Amino acid sequence: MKSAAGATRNQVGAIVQAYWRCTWNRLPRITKGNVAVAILLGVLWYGLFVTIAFGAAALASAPGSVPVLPYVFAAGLMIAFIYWQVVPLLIASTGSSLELPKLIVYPVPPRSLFGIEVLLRTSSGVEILIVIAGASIGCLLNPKLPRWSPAGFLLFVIFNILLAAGMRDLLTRLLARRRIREMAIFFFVLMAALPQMSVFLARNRHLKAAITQIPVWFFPWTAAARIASGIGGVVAWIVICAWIVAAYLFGRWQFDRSLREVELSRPQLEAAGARRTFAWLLSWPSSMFRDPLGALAEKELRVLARAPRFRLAFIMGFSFGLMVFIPIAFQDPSGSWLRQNFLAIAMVYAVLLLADVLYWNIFGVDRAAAQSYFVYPPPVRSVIFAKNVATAFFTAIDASIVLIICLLIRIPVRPVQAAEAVCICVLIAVWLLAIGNLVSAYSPRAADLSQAFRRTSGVKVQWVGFLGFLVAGVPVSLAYLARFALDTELAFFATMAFMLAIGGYVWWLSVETAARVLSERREASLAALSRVGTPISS
Amino acid sequence: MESPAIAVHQLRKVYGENAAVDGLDLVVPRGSFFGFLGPNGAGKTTTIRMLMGLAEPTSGAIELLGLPMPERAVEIKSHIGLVPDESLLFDNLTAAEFLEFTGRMYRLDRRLARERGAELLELFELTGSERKLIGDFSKGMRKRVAMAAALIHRPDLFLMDEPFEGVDVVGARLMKDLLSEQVRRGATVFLTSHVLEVVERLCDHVAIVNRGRVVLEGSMAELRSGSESLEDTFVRVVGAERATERLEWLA
Repeated sequence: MKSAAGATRNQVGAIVQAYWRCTWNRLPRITKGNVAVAILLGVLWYGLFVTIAFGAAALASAPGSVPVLPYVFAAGLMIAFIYWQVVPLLIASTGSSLELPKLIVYPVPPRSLFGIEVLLRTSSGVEILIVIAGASIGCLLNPKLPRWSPAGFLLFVIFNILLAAGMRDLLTRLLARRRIREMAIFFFVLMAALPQMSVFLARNRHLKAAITQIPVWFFPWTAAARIASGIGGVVAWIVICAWIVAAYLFGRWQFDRSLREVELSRPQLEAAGARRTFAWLLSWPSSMFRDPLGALAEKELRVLARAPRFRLAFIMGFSFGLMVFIPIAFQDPSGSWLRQNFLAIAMVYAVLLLADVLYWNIFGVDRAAAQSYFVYPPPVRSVIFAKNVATAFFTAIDASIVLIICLLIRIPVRPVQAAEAVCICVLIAVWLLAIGNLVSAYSPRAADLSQAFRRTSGVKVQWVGFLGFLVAGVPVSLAYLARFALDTELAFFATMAFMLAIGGYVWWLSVETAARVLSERREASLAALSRVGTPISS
Repeated sequence: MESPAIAVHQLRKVYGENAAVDGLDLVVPRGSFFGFLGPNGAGKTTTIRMLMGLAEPTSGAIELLGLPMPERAVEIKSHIGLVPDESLLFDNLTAAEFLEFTGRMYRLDRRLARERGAELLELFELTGSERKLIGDFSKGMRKRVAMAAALIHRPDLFLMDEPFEGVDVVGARLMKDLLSEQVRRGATVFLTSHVLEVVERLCDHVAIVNRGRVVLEGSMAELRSGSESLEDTFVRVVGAERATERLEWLA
């Protein structure tokens, strides 16, 4: 046996080592092609931020730039803060975190677990760390800046990871509770969109005045920027340290609460509640399709409707999109592209949020059922078709809600705008379905739909989404190009119809291909879907 | 007087409007082999999860090895060996890696954890599967791994949820012998099981729980004093004595 401190270090080491072993052990099961794609995408993604880091280093190291550094750093750190704290909320992803239900049974002091959890928060801001590292090196190389200037960045990073830890625990816990989850979502949506909404509405002058009158030195990014620019002063140090203490207390408080509330059986109870609420709404496929398709599609609707991850994406799809994009669009001049197309943007954003659950990983989201697809008499093709029906249904509902809200709050929507937005949404959805079927068949992965927030922020997942949207966006771009070239709406809609027809054929091929791939690789697919369990989920 | 291994007073766990455990009182003497029985949904797993620290009681008090839970949770956990349901295993580790991990989590140093892990693997006849991931193990092999992990730090109290489920005859025999040996050295075993024959043969104390409350508790000798078997007693106290209705279409 070891001393207390040594034993704790040993435990922390064991958790980290087990995580790396789990990751390593999975590698032989991943095909060489997947590894190559993952490496390529990683190089591209992180290369982008390394380039920005070089730029930051060049700027920070130039003696002539010292006068502008406080302003540049303050703006940059504010963007970093938004990226770290708000973007995970926008994309419903919280990065890696400890699997508390698996670790809580061991005699590990809560403060050690909190320490690891805090360090894991860096996983949701690796890109920011790269850029900040570049800026820090630049500061060190600048002869006009004191040696301690990078401390401003360090303190800012500490503040962010502590705050991110608290925010993650708070959100995860709130969103795990069925009755308050939706309220919590709207609260955070409001919080995130409040500044834009206040500007957009321009009615509450007191609020606007209050926002603009907050002293600049009060913000953590300003204080950190002043220290990093070598003009710290006592106030800046006190302010950033006070923010760190507040973030630590908040983070620790939230972590302790999460630790107390770790329970494994909550999703089952949630399902019981959801059964009553959605029973009548979700049985329509059985009356529209013959079995087995009717039964399969109805099952998909029920499973998804009871899954916290899906419900969060669904609600955020119509709420966040409108609250974020409408204020932005209506600040622009009336003829601007953004303003003309805000409805289409809001709808496509809804599809984007649904993609992780409904498009990219159709077998992973209900992985417990995967085995049955190969055991039951219906062909796998029917299963894929049923999953696509469910996806189309929920996408249509989300997009419709966006349109209905716009009409209810009397946002001017011309019929041609609505038709255009719906067409774009349908076209993108069809192409995404086709791409999603193939991605789901070639690269199935286990997902935990009981977690309201996606924990992965893996490069591959992000790039699959990014490239998928890029490909699905090509037909829409061609339609816009046709309108631009021929200057007529007819060209736009004709191109859309043509692309929709091609998309429909590609989708049909994707169903057939995905069914064949799944049947050929059933053993590997089932193994990939059944594999869970690491001390740290990512 | 030595405190009991487990002392539970008026324990309640409420989910929404349903009480999974509803005022449960239980005392498990040290050095006993205690069987915790009940029909499906009686509250056994919820109780054992609260004892393990996986769920927080709505109300009531828990003392394990004389220490209050959750106030002294870290100290208590270091003396407990768990065989929970399968959800606590890490599918992407090999058995040896998992045992080393578990040993280190129980504050054994790395070398000792590795040594004991290797010995336990041999004992549980898992040595041929060193390179195999736990995710690829059969249910019985997973239980063996869980059992080995529970033993690695030589605990004073074992909490086990259906430890023999899915285990073959040889494995079950080994596990039974090991647990009996642990009880002989003074450890306490608290297990849930649906296999009443096993409970009848191994346990010296039994509690039957139904609808979140203990409906019968006593030593095995007391329960055997009548003419009833444990199965008869179980069926009688949980009120399940009714004729099975036959389904016409199944005839």
